[in-house]
Amino acid sequence: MKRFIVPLILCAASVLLLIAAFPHWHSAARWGFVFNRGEAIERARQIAAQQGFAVDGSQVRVGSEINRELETYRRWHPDDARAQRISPVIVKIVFSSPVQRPFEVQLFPDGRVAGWQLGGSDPPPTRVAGRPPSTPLIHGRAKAQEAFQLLTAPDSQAFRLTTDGAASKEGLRYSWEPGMSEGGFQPTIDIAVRRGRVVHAETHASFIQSFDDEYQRQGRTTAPWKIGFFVLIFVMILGASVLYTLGGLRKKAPHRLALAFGLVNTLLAAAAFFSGPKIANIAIAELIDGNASSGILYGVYMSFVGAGSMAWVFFGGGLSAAGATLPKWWSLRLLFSRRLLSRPVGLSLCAGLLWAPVLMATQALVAMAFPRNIWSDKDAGELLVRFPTLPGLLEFPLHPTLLGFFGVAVAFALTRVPSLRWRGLLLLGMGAAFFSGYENRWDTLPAIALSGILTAAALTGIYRSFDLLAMLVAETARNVVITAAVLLSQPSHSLHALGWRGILLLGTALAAGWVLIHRGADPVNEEEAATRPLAEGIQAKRDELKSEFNIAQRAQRQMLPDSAPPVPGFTIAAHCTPARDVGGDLYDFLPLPAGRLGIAVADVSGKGVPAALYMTLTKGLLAATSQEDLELSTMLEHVNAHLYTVGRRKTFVTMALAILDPAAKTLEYARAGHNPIVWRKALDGSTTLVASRGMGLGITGGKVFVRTLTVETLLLEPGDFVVFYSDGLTEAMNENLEQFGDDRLLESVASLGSGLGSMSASQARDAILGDVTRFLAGTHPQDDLTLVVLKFD
Amino acid sequence: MANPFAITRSNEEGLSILALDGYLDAHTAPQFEKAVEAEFNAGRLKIIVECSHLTYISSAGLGVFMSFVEEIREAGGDIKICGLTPKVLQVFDILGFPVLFDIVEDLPAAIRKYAETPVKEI
Repeated sequence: MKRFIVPLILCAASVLLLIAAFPHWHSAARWGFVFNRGEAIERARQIAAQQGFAVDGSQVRVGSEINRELETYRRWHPDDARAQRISPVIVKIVFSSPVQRPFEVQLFPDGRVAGWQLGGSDPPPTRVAGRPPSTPLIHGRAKAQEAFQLLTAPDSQAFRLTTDGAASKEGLRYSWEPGMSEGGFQPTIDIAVRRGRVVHAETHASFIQSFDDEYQRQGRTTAPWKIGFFVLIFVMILGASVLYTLGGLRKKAPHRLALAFGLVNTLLAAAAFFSGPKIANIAIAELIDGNASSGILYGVYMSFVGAGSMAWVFFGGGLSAAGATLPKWWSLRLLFSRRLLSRPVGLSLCAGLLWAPVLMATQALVAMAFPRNIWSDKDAGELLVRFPTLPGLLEFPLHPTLLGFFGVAVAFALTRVPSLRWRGLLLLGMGAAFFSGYENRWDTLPAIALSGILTAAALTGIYRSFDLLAMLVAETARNVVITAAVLLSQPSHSLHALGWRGILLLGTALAAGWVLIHRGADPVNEEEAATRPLAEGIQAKRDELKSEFNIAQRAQRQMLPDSAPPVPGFTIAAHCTPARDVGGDLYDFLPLPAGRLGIAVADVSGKGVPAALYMTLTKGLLAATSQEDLELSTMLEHVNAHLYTVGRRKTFVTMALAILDPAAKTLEYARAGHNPIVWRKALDGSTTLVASRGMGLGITGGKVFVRTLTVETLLLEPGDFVVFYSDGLTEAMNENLEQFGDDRLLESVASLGSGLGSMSASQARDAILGDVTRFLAGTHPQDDLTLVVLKFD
Repeated sequence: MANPFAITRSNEEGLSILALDGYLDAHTAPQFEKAVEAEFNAGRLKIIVECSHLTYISSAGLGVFMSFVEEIREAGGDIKICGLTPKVLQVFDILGFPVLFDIVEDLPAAIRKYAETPVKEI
């Protein structure tokens, strides 16, 4: 577990740093929420009842809004007591039903009422004709005064009435203002009364013109960055789409994996939408305008179609670019191949969870280095959703930045850019650009760049030392940690409980990862993972294949000649034992013009069916070349050329080819990478290996092959033996893992004796095989074993 | 019984070193093939295969060497082989591999060989 030492130490240090620094650093920690979602709804119901609006049986949505300008003003003028009394965060509780007009209540986080509003429009005035004219002006003022007191207590005396019962579309309008503060801020209370009820009450913030201008200017400075970022994202989406399409054309696109990733994102987005976070705020805005269905449709579109398809395109493109072979994406693949409970997943989970606080602490350090230039980093809306950790979980998979960087840029750089320097530059550049975009609330250039580079470096580090899944977990868990920290730093006890729930979620995940590391399955390779579920279903198929194998085996045996054609003065005996059902060894006899005979022993690389197919091909090629009157070297050259083209350098054949000329009593011999033949000379009783030069067939193109091939001519004497064999003979291995070897073979051949009274070819063959069998002592040969003996009688 | 086989990869002076250990036969050759393919895909084209702990190589194992070498050479890299034990060297030798590959004594010699002839001329 050495890999976890550094993350553990950094994690502990980061947690301590965050506990000490978080409330000072993070503006969301200072919002001071005294209620949770349920308590906010309860408070809103009370206000609705007080103001005479029926909301029973309505559907409720809770969202929030941050007034960024007010937030900035408060940061720039910490001494303006009036501005500090008004929170930039407003919680909105919206009641809607098909039969009533929507009603919205606005609360400050400290529990004070910020306003309320009756949405939609009046029903058509069908039965208004006989009713008395609208409520008297004086009664309207009393109602408005009451609402004004509610909104401004205990500071009501600072305000003075500026608009008194002006007619408007909403009803009679009343406004109160306290006058500009020293810094240039003033709150305005706007109230509208219609038919005896306050239909609109609002606390509105306005600023001195010079501050407005300065704020706008600041806002504009980040604009080119954002535009650049969106252009980059657009290019990436386009590029990913092209890569994915190309992958599809080459039939290399991993459709299932990409689709699965898109689907997971869609489900998360859907869950977050129905729990009511940021996206639901858009729906709220639409609801207030009385157009509920279009708002919900937009939210559904963003969640389902937007999130899912973006993830799908990015990861599909990245996987295609990488040829779906990046090892760092391995544990993510396990997730989708029903191997969720495996050790690599546990490792990634733990690593990601330990790194999450470190990522957050990195940002805290940057934030503390640039205290004036940071925006708050989390919307208050997330404090008020039913499941506060869910938006944190959601943030990563939805964000095109990380999808783009890790889905496309990393895959592309690692697989398509060979130069280390260019790869590093590409990743650094892309990383800074993407993560600057991701952190686009950081106000000024140094903070943006520093945060971007540090985040990208940290995530790339996690990616390198662990894998993609670990990085996904780290980024997602970081968001959960932030949400939990924000919740825990609020005054409300009920929010603390939710915060601890988030910590508990992370703790449970960490424990689960730890259990997986120790107990999880350890998948050996992907093929195994893919085939295991099918194991039961393939028995029938296996039986069928077995019978087809038997047919193939018989066919292959029949390809080997039973006996050699008679050659005057010579006898030849052959033997072949295939190690598996079908083998790659071959021997053949080729009748040639002028009474000559070709003798070939060959061995195809590899085993099983592919080797058998090449063996058949080699036999065919040999037969074809023996039809013409060719030199030995030319025959091999032809066979080599064909095998080189067909085998595509994945398969090669070694061959010992000899041409026996009984009239001249010569044996022309060439060795194409094959084991050297053994020559037992009757004349001097010597036994030697004849190892002339030559490369295996199908390894290299014509020129090199021809250049290295040498043909030797053996002058045979009566009583001579020549033994051809395959490496299955010399490499035959006994129980003690000893090989039969060249020396034993030479010994065996030497003991055949020589001279006219010695053994026949078939006796010699049986004697050698007998030696091998005794050596093996019951062990079955692991490779094809071929032996051909030529005897000059 | 599956014979033990392992690959350790490392870097030295920009060269990718794959150290083979154990039995390279038809069962373990795919593992070696994946390792070489990974180097190739990652653009690490100057490969040294260190064989001092390679106890056995079958034809399937030899096939891996030849299946990649042309592609790698076309891309400007090479595969150099070092540390062969006499028994394994004999197998390479029989097949004619010394014509096709730079086969040298040990790792330092392989690194020097890269300095002298980055791509073997055949």
